Amino acid sequence: MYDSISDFLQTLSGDSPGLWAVFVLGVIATLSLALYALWELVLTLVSKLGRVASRSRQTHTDGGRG
Amino acid sequence: MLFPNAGVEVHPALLLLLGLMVGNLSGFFGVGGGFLITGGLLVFGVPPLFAVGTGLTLIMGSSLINTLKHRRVGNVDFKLGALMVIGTIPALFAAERLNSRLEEMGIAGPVIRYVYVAFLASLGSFIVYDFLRTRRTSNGQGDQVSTASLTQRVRELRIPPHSVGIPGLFSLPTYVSLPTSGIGRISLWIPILVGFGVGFLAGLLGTGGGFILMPILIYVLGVPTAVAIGTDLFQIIITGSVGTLLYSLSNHVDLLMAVMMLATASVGSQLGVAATRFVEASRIRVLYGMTVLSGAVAVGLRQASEPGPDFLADVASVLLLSFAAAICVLIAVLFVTARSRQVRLVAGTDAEVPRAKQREGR
Repeated sequence: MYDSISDFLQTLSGDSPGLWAVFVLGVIATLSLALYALWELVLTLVSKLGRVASRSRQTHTDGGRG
Repeated sequence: MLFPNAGVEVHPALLLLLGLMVGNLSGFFGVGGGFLITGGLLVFGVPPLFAVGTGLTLIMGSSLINTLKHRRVGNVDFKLGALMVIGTIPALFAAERLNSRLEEMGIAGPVIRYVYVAFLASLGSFIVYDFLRTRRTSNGQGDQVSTASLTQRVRELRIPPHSVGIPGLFSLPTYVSLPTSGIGRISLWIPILVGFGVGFLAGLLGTGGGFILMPILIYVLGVPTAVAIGTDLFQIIITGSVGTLLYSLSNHVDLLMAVMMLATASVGSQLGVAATRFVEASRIRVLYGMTVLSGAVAVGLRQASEPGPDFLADVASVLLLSFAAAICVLIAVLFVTARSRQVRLVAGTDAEVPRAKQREGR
């Protein structure tokens, strides 16, 4: 796996600089957008879970008092 | 691990750590962090041109993530950013011309480094001085800076032509309002000129220019610190992309290295951006000033290593990395402290409401 990626990167960068430049820009832009979306999803899920947990804790406490 | 394009072996853990720090500082200060990345990669044994090229690639990616994050909290003034880009792009080419001229004369390296040291030292000193001055007069709260009168004068500047268009057909005024930045009316030539100046210095010094633009937005245009950070990052996407394109064309980018660092930079930026919402603006500015001063020391040591001992260059980079790591820890501490204080305040307010209702009932 590593060897084939390594070969691909070396061949592309050495043989066609124009295509290599577009590839680098494309990979970095796509990866950045994907990482941004991933972290937004994770943080939204965590905050939702936190809210649900605190609400259920509150209901539990109120129920205990009642 | 061997990196195929740069042809060097670097431990992946070091790259992941560097990416984490860069993401954190970039999200918190709104700068690309070029001086930190290049210095770090040089210490890890990456060849200089690959260090710069790979660094610019990481800057492009991390500023894209950070701009999107800041946009969500309303910290990016796209109109101001777009106006500055109009000035930045021709300035980058003009600086490239001057750089080639200086190189032909054989004085490019020392001239650039002396300008860099002088610039970083004066910028860092001014920011720390401003913090101490405003701290004394206003307890350091909010966005108050010592250059308020300069900001007012700059905003009121009327620069001709006051309108552009085709006579008899249409005419457009050359004044704009920038509500996101809290600017009611400003000549559009001012942000264009700022973009040109920053682009020229960035091109001359071989950096992304974020460390120059952020203070100019705050101290000259009077943009709130959080908006200055977000808008600065938007501008860095452009300069970072141009740099990445140029260095990829000359085959001086190691994509695998950049991808690895970008993965952890995205983690660091979560903390950096979140911290800007809780930490006092004046504290952000003083930490930034201190980071810029440490950059001046590092570049000065590297300049001293040219005729002197080689190890000074490594000492410079290690010092810079250690200082950056300390600042990252400080950001985390400030974030946790400010957030817990806010949570306590909110809890206190919530507790007050039923008590007030009880009083009303009585």
